[in-house]
Amino acid sequence: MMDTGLVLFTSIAYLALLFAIAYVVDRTKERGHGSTLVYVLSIAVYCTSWTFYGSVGRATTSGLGFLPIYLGPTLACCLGWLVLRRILIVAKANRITSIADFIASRYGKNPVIAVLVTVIAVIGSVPYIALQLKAVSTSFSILVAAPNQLDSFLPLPPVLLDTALWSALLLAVFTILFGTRHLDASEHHRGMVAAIAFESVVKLATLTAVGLFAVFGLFGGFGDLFERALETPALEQLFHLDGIEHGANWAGMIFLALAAAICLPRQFQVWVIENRDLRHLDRALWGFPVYLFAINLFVLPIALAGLLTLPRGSDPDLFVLTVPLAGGASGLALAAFIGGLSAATGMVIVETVALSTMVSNDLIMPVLLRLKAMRIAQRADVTSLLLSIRRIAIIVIVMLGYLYMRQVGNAYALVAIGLVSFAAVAQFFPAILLGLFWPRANARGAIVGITGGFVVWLYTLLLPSFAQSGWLAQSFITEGLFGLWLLKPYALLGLDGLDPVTHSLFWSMLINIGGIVGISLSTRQSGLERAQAALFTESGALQGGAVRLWQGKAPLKELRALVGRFIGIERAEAAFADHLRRRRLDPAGPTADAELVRHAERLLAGAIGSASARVIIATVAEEQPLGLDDVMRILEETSQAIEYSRRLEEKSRELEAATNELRVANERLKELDRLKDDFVSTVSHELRTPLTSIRSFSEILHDHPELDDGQRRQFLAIVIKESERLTRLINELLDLAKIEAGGLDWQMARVDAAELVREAAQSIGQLFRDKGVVLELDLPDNPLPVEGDRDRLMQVLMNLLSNAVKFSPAGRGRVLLAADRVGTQVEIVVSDNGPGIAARDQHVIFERFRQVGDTLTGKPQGTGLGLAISRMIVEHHRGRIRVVSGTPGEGATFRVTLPLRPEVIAAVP
Amino acid sequence: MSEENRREDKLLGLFILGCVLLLPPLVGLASGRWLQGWPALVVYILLVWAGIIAGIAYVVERRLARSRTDDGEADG
Repeated sequence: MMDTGLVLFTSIAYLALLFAIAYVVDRTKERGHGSTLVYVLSIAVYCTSWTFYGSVGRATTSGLGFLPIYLGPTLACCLGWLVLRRILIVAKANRITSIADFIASRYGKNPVIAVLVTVIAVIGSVPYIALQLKAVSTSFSILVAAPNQLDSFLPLPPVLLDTALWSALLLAVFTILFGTRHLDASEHHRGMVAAIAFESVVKLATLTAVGLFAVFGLFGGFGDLFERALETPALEQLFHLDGIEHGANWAGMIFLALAAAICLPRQFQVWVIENRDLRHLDRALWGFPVYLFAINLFVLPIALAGLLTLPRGSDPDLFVLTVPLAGGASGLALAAFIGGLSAATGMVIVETVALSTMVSNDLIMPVLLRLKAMRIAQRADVTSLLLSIRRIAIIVIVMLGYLYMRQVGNAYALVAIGLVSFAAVAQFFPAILLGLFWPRANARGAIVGITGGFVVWLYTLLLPSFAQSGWLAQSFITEGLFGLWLLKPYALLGLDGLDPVTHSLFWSMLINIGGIVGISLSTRQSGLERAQAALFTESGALQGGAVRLWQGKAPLKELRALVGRFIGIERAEAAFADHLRRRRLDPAGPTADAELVRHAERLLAGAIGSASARVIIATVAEEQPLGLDDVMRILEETSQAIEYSRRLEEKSRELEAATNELRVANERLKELDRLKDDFVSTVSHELRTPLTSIRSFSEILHDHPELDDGQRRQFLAIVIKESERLTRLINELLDLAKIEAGGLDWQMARVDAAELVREAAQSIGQLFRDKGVVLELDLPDNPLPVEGDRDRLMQVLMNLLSNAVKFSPAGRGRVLLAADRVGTQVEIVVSDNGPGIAARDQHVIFERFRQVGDTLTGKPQGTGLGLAISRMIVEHHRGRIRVVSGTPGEGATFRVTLPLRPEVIAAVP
Repeated sequence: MSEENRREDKLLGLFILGCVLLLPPLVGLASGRWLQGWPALVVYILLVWAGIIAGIAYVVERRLARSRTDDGEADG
């Protein structure tokens, strides 16, 4: 037996330490986003005294049956990014204050849902809180009781001497001090979270210490312990997990714990509301399971050690205390007691904070706001009223827990109570999950589903637990309501073989999910519901994109005063000023636009929940109700905006392309301008050369009448020759200009290219003979008909031939003139053995006034327009002219290709 | 976004794997068996559990490491 004073003193000292931690953390200036470790440890509030004491108790009867409660949350963490992350993002964006707020927000800020969820959460949590109080009081009594007192069947002490009552009051005070200091619930309870994190460390450390003591103090290690267990048939049974029913219970338990790890009000509080940085979630996804893993390692060994060392009939729910006590380690037992106390207090504090927020925001405030007589929205300061409501709610909830414990708790094992609570909050899971991923899930469906599931839970779990405590007749369980076997609460419709929790879970989920899906499929959503559903399910909302769905406005002054009443004037002023500055709006303007009103609503929601905030805002704002038409219009606007932006992009692309084309055209124009200048100056030069010569010789003839006839004739010959050259030049210029301007009169007709070539050779033959150049002809026998202007084509040939003879060396020159059919083309080749054309000149010789060899000989041998004109003529005939010239000195080859007449192509394959 | 989805899917895959390994019938296979004085059921569940946790940690930490280097590059 331990000294009551010592145990009391240690407990009080420990609670004082918690106060101190919370106080110090609350006082220190906030820096950054807090630590990931604290976040992870605070989530471990999942492990309550139910884990601390109850797991061992469950392990003694069902072996590993306690594990699903921790495997479930581990699997929930696997869904962390898919589910939890979404919940967090949405909750942060909408300043969600509780799980009731979250679900109600999703379904169009529906106040009925908020109330429903709150009521279920309170009813489901009261037994759980009772369980914690019971754990504290029984563990206390065990510690100070006689050493042979190893079970918890103690007579109930008078109320005023009941440790449970005092610990309940103490916890209520702690919760009030650190849970309701200021109002904006989104502002986080840093001190409380730090204290909870510290408690998590204590829980883990003490349970591990007891485990080590059991395994290595009482036995020779794990091997020894398991060996002894194997020898005892009753214990060997604990390592079995077979049979369909067993499997179903196991699976049901895992699902239940998975849902509870997210839906328990306190878990939602620490996961979502107390989260200060979204990035903390990532590491918590494996940190939390690691904690669960660690704290469960020694549960089974402690259970085995208790069963092996303690006398039959000892309460297994208290093995964590009695094993060290019986082993003579009373110090360790005291530490274990503190660990259990940690587990219990952590749960009660966070749970009541979460519940009191829900009760005040979603239950009391909406009622008060609707009572016109209260004129809440017109009050000067609602902050203190809200805080009072929360404080009263905390006391009431804790006291309800205490009452439950006094009346019911003693009859029921710890684990059973915990699972009853789990099954209650699991009713929220379908509404959350479907709400996040199925936009059509609507409020009516959620109401029907949650209510249905809750009623089934009530009938199949809560009422039977009352019956077991003697509040109701036992026959309710054994024979069913009104003696109807179909209504037996543990075997509804004759479904038996499952354990009560799995049985209840199956039926309630069937009704719950069926209700949500069925009703959602058969009813329509209101505009607001649709808007909220989009906000929660669409990825656009996940990126924080605001959806403009509220249409309306409010007087700015009134709005600011209204928000001020709820969150304090100064903070309201600051928040409004900040918002107006960010949007560059006039702070003195008369009305607040829809976006500012929405901002105000979010501010309010942070303090009193979305459902209440909506009611309050409605008192000052003229809201146009959001009908289907509005939603459609907004959708239309949005899609129009998207369409416009798409068109704009297209236009800008087109403009860019046009600009590029213009730039290219401009370059080309500049080039052409330069070419024109060159052309003019070249033409002038070309015209001046013969003119100068004509003029000089005419002057000589004029000034010197004494010249003899021979000389006179010679000079006149020069004048005539130069005049001819001038005439030719001007003719060619005219030709060129005509072709370029498209003004030339083309006499298109059927022309035999072979015949043409033969004629050209005949008419230019004299020139070749004069220079001693051999002209070889290579022509086919068939005609080569092309469509063309005979004279112009002749002009091309004459030009090419005269060039060839011009550049061929006198006396030993050879020119080949050939024509033949190549595919669908006629090819005419003029090849000489002159100096050839350098590669770099080959592409310029077809330009005007470009003569190769000018610089070499110094004297132009032609007008420089011949090839340019030839190219134009050929191109007009849809043909090509090109030059091939290999090594210098080996001559040049001109090839002219012209298309064959179509009927020839068709006739001769 | 697709990279984010891929990681989301990895965790989802881990979830499905965990369900398969921790639910009947697989979990029942080790029932009542002993491995050199150790209960196979306990060993099996603890190993699978630890494996899943390690899997989550691997996926999450790789993402964290990557986002840190991304941030670093953005800063630099």
